[in-house]
Amino acid sequence: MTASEPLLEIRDLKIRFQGEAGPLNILQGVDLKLLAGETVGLVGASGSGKSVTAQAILGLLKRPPLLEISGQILYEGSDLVTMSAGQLRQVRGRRIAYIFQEPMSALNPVFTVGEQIAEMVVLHEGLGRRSALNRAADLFAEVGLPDPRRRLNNYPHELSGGQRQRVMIAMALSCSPQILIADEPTTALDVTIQAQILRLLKRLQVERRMALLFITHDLRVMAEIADRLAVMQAGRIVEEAGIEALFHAPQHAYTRQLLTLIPGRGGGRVVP
Amino acid sequence: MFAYLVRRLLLLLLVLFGVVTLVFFLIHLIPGDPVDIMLGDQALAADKDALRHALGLHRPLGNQYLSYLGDLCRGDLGLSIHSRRPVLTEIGERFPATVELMLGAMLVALLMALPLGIISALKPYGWLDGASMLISFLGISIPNFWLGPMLIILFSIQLGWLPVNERGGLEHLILPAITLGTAMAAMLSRMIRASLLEVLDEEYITNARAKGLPERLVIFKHALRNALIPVITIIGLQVGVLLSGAIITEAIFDWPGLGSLLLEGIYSRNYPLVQGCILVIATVYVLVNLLTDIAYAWADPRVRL
Repeated sequence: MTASEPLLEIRDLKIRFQGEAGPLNILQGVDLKLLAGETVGLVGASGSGKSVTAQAILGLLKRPPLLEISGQILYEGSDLVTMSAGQLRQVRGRRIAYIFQEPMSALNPVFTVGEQIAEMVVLHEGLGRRSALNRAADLFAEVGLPDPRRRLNNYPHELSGGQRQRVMIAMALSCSPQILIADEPTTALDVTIQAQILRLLKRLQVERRMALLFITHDLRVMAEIADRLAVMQAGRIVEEAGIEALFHAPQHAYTRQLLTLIPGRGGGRVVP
Repeated sequence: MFAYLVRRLLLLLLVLFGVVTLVFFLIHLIPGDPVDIMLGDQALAADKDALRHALGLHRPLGNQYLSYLGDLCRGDLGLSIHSRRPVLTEIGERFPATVELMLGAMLVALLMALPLGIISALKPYGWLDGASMLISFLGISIPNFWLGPMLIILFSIQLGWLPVNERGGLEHLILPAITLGTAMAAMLSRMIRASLLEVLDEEYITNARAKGLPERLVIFKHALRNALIPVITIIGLQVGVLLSGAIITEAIFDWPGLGSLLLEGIYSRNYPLVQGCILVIATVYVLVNLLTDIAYAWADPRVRL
């Protein structure tokens, strides 16, 4: 695969949800490309359709509320939208992994975190339980969890918020995916922990040469991590540009408005 | 954990003391006494007095109560007035039958409720969910004293598939267990449906799918394990309903259990026997609830006793 050929390409993605008062157009033709090894930031206010776009990639939207989906999501030449459930399961977790915003609700409360990672490795790579748990412990060390072996037997509620998000990241990495989708992975965390998790994600992305689709409503976060930005508003991508270009010469009015919201910037220049 | 157990067992003693006291005085409020029933209306007053003296029933009620409590503390439940055999022996003979009936009913309830509840939750508002709801409403509304005889008429008399009554092999247990377990099955299936529906909406279920797990694992491992936690509590509480339901069901099927023993005791004003039966039923109920709480803590790692 050449660098110019996208690893993942979303073409004219339209999604309608069943609302209380009738159908709602949630996505109105989203186009987005993700190249191998790059970090793309998907920015926008809540309700702009960022998470729906991200969940649509892995076919995670539930019916209801999902009413209608059209367009293509191409991954390695196959369309994830029309792919069979069985084929999609081969992509989920293994080729494309997903990190949720709130690790406390995304981790199953009644299973140990070691088990929740190991089951995935057993399933996708056919490893035995013991080797899968060893893999989990190695990943815990890689994401900087103290005392990784003992962590295996912890339940989610026994960990701190930052530790839980590290577990989520370890889980996402467990089958060495090509693409990592992170849906506001730092929003639920303390500010100091946020910075640590961001640095961790950036480091892992570079080391493992993964493509990272990072979703956030916070442009400051993007300056630290993204190569390219796509700005979403009301179900459309209104501007897409390299990080420098977007911060220095925003084209769209909404992007300029978002930039003024960065504290201490006041509409002036920021050095990404 | 140990301190918790000690606390709960002390609480059990308190509950039993309350039950014993309440039952002792309530049963003496029922008109008629055992002597009238044993000797009949025609008996001479002198004979009745003699029997009352022999049974110790002539003493003041408070006096009888204190001596009953004293015996109880030594583990003596007294003698059955009619047979003059120890109450504990009589209960011991009947208790296994009730346990068998309750376990059978619970098995029936789970075998019906689990599939109904799971199917309903996976396709909510579909026709299967509707059918399961209808079955549940019928199950809850139909009283045991109607369902039991109907089952007997259909399966024993018309079809001749199953024996009419009395305890015996497994085939004797089927109809009483269905009679007693149906209402519980109806309740449980709705509970399981509601609980599972709620869990299926949780983000950890979406995450399980995002990890690439097959639906089989998503539902039966990740969802069901969580959905059944509140159901454990309901099962524990339902044991009380089963115990009281057993009284009627045992009467219908001539089942030689604690329930029919209790009824016999009440009809003949057999005070020690009634007190003993209720004491045992109360103990079972409280112990099952203790077990339920322990099971809950075992099933949910967030709960520590």
